[in-house]
Amino acid sequence: MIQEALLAGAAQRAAKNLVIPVRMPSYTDIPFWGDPVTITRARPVDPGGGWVDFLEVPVRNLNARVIYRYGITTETANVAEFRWILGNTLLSVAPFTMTPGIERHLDRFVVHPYPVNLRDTFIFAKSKYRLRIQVRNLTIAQQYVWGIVYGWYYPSLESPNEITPQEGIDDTVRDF
Amino acid sequence: MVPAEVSRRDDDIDRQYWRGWVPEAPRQGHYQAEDDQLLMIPTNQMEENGANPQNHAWAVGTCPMWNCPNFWADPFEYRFERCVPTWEQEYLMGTIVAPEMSMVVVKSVSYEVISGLGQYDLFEFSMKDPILKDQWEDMIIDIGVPASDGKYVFASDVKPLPLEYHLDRNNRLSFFVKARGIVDLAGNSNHFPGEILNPNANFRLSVQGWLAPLRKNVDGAPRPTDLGNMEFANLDEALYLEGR
Repeated sequence: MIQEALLAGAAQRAAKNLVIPVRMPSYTDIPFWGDPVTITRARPVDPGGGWVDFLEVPVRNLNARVIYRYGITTETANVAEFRWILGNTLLSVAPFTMTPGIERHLDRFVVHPYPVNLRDTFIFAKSKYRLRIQVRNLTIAQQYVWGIVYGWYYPSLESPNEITPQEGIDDTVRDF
Repeated sequence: MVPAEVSRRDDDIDRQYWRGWVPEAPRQGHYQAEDDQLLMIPTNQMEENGANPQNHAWAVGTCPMWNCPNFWADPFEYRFERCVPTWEQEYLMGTIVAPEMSMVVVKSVSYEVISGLGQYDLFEFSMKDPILKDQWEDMIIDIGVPASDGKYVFASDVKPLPLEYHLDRNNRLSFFVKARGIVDLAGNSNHFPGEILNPNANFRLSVQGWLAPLRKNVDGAPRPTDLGNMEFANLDEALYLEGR
């Protein structure tokens, strides 16, 4: 009996010192096989052009994209509105506006809240679809638009032919 | 015929009495750094009714070294600087080579244009390993102020741009820069590739992050982290010490 107890003690000590790998979710921390997505754009948008592509997250095969933060800024408020498009689908029907962060002076721009305000988000897209931000100029003058998208790719283990936006993807960790 | 030799180990009553006993203390009282004690789950406390705390389990969680710097991680800031003589052409700024025993974890970059580019000019950075991993651009919106005071939109010499990447050991990562000029909505520049940039532009790029050691810094020989803790209270090791 004491032998069993002692053996159990050894097992307990062994179990106590086990190192358990905690799976960090791929949408909060970049996994080992993750790739960076840090894309910035500074573009002039002409008036009367309707919705035009402003920033596109490039497609990489067999990769899913997690967009973690984004920020867009303009010169003054209500000069432009934006929308996310995944494939041919609007992510949100209503276009959004962002807080302006840059003032136009006579011969230069001045960043007001520095740098561009980042808005936390979570956009999960898969490889087959283009993910982009479109912009529409609401004024009769040319407007400069500055945008940043920050996040990471992580690999999808699924077949690219069977990918739909509704599917989930397992987190990937590096097994030790 | 010589009789086969029979082991008498099981007849040793003293050994049988101590069978299964594991010495409590480590063999040596040296300090052993644990690089994976970042997430401790405190379930090892005494219960109200005085239950044996040994009946509770506790575990040491690991945060991956590309997410959390461990105790032995070395912060770094690689700085690259070079002259760019032409428009619309990519120039190598520098290369990071991950050393044999470390993983390079990149968290952010910051940059500065010393001279050359004018108001509203764009410049573009690329990161390749060697395929293109990331590409970002920025613009000189106010040429009259220092870089740290809003000369660019997204970052500067003191405001880093977030950039998540990690390099496994012996891999390399290169950074390129391109002076683009004033671009339209489609991204077309007003300069042609190879057009002389006068005066030359000077770019400075710094890459921040940490070097995550892939070997444990314990006494004696360094040990790959993949092999787990070099601890006493490993059941296999305990049984080995016991002589089985």
